[in-house]
Amino acid sequence: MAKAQAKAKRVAASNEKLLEVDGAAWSGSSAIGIDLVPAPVTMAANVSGQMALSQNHGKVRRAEARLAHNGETLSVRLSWRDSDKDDQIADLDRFADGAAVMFPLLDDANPLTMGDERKPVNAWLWKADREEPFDVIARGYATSQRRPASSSQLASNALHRDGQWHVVFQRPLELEGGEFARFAPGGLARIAFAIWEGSNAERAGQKAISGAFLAVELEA
Amino acid sequence: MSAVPSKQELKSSKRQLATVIDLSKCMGCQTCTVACKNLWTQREGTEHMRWANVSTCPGKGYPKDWEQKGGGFDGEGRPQPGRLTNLVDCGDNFQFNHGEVLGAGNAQGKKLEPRSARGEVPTWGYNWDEDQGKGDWPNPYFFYMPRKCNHCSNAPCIDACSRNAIVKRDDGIVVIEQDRCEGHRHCVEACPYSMIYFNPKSQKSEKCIDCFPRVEKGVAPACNRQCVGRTRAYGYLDDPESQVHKLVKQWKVALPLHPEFGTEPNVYYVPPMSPLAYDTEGRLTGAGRLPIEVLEGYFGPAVRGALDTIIAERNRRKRGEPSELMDLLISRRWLDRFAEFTAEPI
Repeated sequence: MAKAQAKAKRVAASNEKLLEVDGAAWSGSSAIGIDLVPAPVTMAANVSGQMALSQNHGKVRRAEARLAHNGETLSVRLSWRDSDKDDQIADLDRFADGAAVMFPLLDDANPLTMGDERKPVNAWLWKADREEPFDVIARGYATSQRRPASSSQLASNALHRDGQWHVVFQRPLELEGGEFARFAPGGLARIAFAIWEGSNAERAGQKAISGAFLAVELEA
Repeated sequence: MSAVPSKQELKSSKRQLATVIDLSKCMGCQTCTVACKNLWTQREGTEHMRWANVSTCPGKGYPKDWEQKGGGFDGEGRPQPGRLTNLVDCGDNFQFNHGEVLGAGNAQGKKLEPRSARGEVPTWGYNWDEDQGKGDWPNPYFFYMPRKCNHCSNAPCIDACSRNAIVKRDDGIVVIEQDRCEGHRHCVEACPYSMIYFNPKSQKSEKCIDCFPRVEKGVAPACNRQCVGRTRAYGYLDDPESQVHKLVKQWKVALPLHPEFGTEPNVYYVPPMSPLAYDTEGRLTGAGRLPIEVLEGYFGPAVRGALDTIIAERNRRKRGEPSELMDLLISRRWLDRFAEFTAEPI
């Protein structure tokens, strides 16, 4: 088993308390610094020649992640600095802020391509203008499918305060059937991060990504 | 087919439907615009869309400044960066203070005032520069440019869509599959004709579907069939009996708009014939008012040959000789224009 690079603390808090972005349930968890880089869109030239021309995406370079579980659900809290709150698409040339966390369904899936045909990845996608997050399954570029949050009992909550976004994702550790990442106390979760800066016209592959999967141990 | 279809697969079709529009006959009445609007874009989020539209050339066009927005391909087939349009560029959706003027007893004191989508006094709108054109007295000039999606053979929107949501059907019509579209708008950037529109309500991109539900029943698209000026022909390009084939392939008098964009568009235009110019004394001269260089800017160098052919055939007819081309352009029976697509819509 790979070595854990970070820990998801086991807490006694309820699911509801963990969904509170600035709730006390998060006070004991330590922050993991996440460095982000512009996603390499030239790799996707065969699925979008236009997107591959993008040069100035990936504006957010630093984020902070906290992970916690209560034996029932895994919660991921992501924070980053963003002075432009883009929570609606007010015109045809505007885009909403977004964030996602991604898990491999097989350990060695490629995070840069969002997996491939044989090694899919599962992601949780939050968009600032949407009521609910999406549960995403992908098998490489151009294959991602958004599934409704209800398909995996995925929940999210977000708050923009003092020039920062804080987003919490929450999902049951175990799920019956379907193509979903699974987690267990004492086990290892592999997780990657992506952030879209709406005011910079970031969408699809035009985003900032953390690159390699981070190995996080779920406290037993 | 593999899990991810190639762009070549998505762009290929068995046949190609095409529209020909005779610009000498278009009078800018907007019946095509209204026919399309009534059928397809009365839903919430589509207020700014005119899948079929007519603007004045030379002019800023619709959406505003579309000819400068980028997209398409360069000479080597490489995609070119394009920009997005906004609500105002797309003709806006003016709201008037009807309630204030008509409903509150203010009819004598208040006047109707438009407000733009941004709540401001409008400074641009659909056909804002209608009939302005160019040129100096006594020879100003303009012509009308009816447009819709070109259903390109080398569609840049298909190349641009990271979702592979845009496909060319077997009949050549290009459609955006709404259930795959996620509204990323790379297609809007890539279309050099600016004929793809973002729907902020559904958060998906939309465009002209060439009335495929009608076409599948043998009914010509609404913009083509409803044209009161008999300017439009419709049919398969490879059907030797169709007017589109005769005008595009045989007579070579119908030309694509901005062929230099590299997308191989399938709306073809019979270039406008020029009225004669006046001299300063008000006498007609032998020269045309529409500078040939202006027409070349729209249709490329082939416009010279096309106009030469039309003028030669017109002169034949003037001499009392038969001319198949003049008969085609006149179309005494209007349904002759639509090849096999002559069924009644209702």
